[in-house]
Amino acid sequence: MQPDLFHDRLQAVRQRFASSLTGKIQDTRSQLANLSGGADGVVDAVAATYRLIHGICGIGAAVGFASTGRAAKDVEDVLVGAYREQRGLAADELVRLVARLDALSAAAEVELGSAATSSTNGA
Amino acid sequence: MRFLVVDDSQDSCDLTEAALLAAGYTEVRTAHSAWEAFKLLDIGWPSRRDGAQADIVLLDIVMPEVDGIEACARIRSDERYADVPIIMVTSLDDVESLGNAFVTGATDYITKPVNRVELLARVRAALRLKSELERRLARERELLVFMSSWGERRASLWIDDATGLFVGEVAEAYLMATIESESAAPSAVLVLAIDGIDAFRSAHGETAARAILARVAHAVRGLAANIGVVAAAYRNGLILLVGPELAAEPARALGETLRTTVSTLDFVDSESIIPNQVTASVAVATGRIGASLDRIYLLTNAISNVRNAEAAGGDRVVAVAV
Repeated sequence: MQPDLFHDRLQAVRQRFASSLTGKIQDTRSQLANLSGGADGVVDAVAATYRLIHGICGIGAAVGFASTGRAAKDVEDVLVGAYREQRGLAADELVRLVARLDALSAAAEVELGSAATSSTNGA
Repeated sequence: MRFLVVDDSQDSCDLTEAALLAAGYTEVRTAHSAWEAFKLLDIGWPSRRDGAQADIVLLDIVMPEVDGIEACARIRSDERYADVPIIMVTSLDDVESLGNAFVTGATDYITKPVNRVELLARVRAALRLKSELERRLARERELLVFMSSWGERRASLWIDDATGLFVGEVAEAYLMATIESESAAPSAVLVLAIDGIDAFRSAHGETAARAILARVAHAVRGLAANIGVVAAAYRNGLILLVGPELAAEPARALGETLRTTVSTLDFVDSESIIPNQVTASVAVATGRIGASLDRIYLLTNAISNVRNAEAAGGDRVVAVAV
């Protein structure tokens, strides 16, 4: 594979990332009610949410969504303790999580807007 | 070079795979879970293909069900992957997990988001390390083979396979080496011949003759070891004993003990052609090694006398002070 093909692949991943980003953030929000308390499935819900956010952290900067990646890292930092200890979120963690999700949404909105603009300009 | 990229994120897998392909590596496989990786690596599956199925593994730490750390430990526990580089892919601040990863055998790590240049640098470093390790292992194996064969060659040169004693030349060398300077104490050379062994060999063959020689040699070896005398055997069946600083009378006594020991050896075997009793002639030559007495003379004198003793009927000790 030639280097140009790497950039083609990067572009494809970037588009996929961008197209799924909003949905992933919404999925996280929809899970908020399941991330705390002692109900069955809390640990699994925290783990799934952690991995979903971790995926955004891991790839964001590499595909041109640096601010989104950093914001996702802030969200991940809230989740990681509960993920490792296999428990639900405490009340204060849940509050911080919501705030950081808001920040993530904002960062994603900006960068998705920029991506759409550059895509349009590029076309 | 065969790569396996393990990451539950399709995006991460795609980018890593593309970076490796763009760098010229052609065999890159991806797995989206540890289980899928185990299957591709043939770990815990019944087929047990020979050899490692990948030359390097890039392993994400955060994965569902079996995480990267557990996967790393599992991969390392398979001997086929003991030396295969495993590069962990992790968050920058995930120090605790990283520590555990190294405990389980990770080679190196790279942080997410993965930087393409850094990825390739780490991969090349790991492959260089692997190559160096393989080169050293190959060299060690070669050395081991060489040492082993050298040892066997040496052993075959030094040990008489019929008797298990040193070959005669070793005792001769010992004779030369241990009586280097003129010594006030006399030295002794004893030569033992099994009476009639040549005729027995002609009649019954080499194998039967070797069986007798081996039995006698075993007894001689025990006696010689007890008093610090070196025993050896010549190809023709003569057994040589060298006793530095062994005076005439103790040497003669040793000769007599040898003769008696051989004559009392039990060879009874109803299935065998070996005679019930074997006798031996022993020649003992003692003298002070010096300007007037060559150590080789002691040896040739003893050999000559043992032949004479055997010709005279055998089962006797002839002692000569030279």
